[in-house]
Amino acid sequence: MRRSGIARRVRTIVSAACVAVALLAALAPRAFTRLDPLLMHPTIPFAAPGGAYPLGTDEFGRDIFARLIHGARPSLEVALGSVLVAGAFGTLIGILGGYLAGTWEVVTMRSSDVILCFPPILLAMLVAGFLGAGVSHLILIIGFLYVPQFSRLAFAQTLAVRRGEFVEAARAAGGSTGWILRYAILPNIMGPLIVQGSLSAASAMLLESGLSFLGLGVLPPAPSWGLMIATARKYMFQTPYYVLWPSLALCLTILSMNTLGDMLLDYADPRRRRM
Amino acid sequence: MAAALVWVVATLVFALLHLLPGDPVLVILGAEGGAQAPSPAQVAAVRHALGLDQALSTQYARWITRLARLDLGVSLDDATPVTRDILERLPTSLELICAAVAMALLGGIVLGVTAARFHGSWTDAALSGLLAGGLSFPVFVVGTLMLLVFGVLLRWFPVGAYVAFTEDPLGYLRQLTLPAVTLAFNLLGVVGRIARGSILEVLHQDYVRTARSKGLGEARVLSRHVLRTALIPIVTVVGVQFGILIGGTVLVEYIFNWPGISTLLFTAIQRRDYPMVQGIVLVTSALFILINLLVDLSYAVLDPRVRYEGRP
Repeated sequence: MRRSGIARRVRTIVSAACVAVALLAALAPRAFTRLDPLLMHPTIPFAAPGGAYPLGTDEFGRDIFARLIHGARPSLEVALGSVLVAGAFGTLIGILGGYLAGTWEVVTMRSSDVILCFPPILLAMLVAGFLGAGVSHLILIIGFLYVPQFSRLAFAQTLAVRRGEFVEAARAAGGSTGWILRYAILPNIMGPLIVQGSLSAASAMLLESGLSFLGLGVLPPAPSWGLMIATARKYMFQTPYYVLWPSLALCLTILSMNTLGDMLLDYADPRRRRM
Repeated sequence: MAAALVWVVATLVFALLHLLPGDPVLVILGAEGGAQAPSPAQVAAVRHALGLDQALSTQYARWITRLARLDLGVSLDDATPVTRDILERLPTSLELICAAVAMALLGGIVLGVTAARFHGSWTDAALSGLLAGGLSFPVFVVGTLMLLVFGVLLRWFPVGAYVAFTEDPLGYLRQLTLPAVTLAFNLLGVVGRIARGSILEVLHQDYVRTARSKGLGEARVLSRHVLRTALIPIVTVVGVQFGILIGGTVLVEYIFNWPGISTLLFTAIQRRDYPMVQGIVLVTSALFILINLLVDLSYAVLDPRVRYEGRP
């Protein structure tokens, strides 16, 4: 048991470091590389790693390392943006449904259940295909798709706390419904929602990379890991390393986000720690 | 209830495609993004032929009544009936999904039992790491790397055109292996996790201790007492995943050139083939709802407490 405790701690630290590096790359890519990710050098396509280009160049002679670093931003923008959208709407819907009950419950909860009738990547593909790709569209689409994850959780949590004495007290003190929801209920259900947010962010990133891979996500020439993998796949037999770097970046980031999310989940629910 | 949901989905699909920008008439006349704009008379003629000039309510009524007769219209691309194309592609997808689900289910149970038996050890940690990988690594990355290693470098499995089982059974199975394993690895992340958690929980139950203290062998305890109960959440998650995969295997089908329903949808979206998109989304969503219904029903069958009732 102790040994796995150490393994856990190491895993948490490594994951946190990976996520931190990805965040830093998204916020301040210039701290990692001075090279322009969009600048083409037609004379040196597929330059070998080393020298001025640490990981070599791609099919247009663009620096792969610079594209890798700059590629972090769209992925994280979509991951965080869509979770914020889904979290805000889902929480609002869930709290209203859970606290007001009756007709409100039916309207809010059934409407978010309808989203669950569609396989997520299918709906995302459909909307992105017709509406057009791009980061802002992805945030809206994935945000919409993830609303039920938050609305169901917020609903269940609200049901659990709404009979609490502090809610009674707030009502007795003459607080309006809005005031009660905001100051009595929301702070008490925030924990699980934040945990859900961290896991949803990882899965949003997964969905984004898949859509970008299909050409329905981040638009070229902007660097994006999913898009880079799609391109590198075509040159897989000439330069196998090219496909390896974005794959590694994507896998490591999502894995780290999931690991951190799991840690949060264990922390929030002591019943799970035993497992 | 399920029928009502299918109706809601049909209505939503209708609404969605009318809300999204783009005009099928221009697609038919081959002028999307328009090199030369067709004359207004041409546009009006096609619009009338398709019935798109009628009121929205009339169009909606027609869509629903046709649907009741399982008529999904014809493809804008080559005028084949949408239903026929779907029936042709759907089984191919289902073959892939069934193979992957079977592998993931088996693997998940084996992994879950192993991890639970060696709970807290390095083996458990390593297996959990594998499961986390399945959950976190994008399926298209895993697929690409598998194709690179086993298809191209080692040449163990063929890379190329799909062969039907009836034509060449062995070739078909070799063709199926890589995509199915890719999909199964991805699924394993979800299934194995639930399996591990659920088996761990059951292992600590009193009745399992009772079974052990009766002197039953470990294998018998696991198979007859632990797995039986632990299987309920596993079946639930497999059912849900199965539903998601119908229409959701697009990445795997795309990478491995598997002619399934997802790739059909992908090309239909790219070609703005409205009736085809409408039909596929409707069929996959209906199957999704149906499978969720079956999962709900399976609780009653699987739950030992229900089964043991009525026995002496």
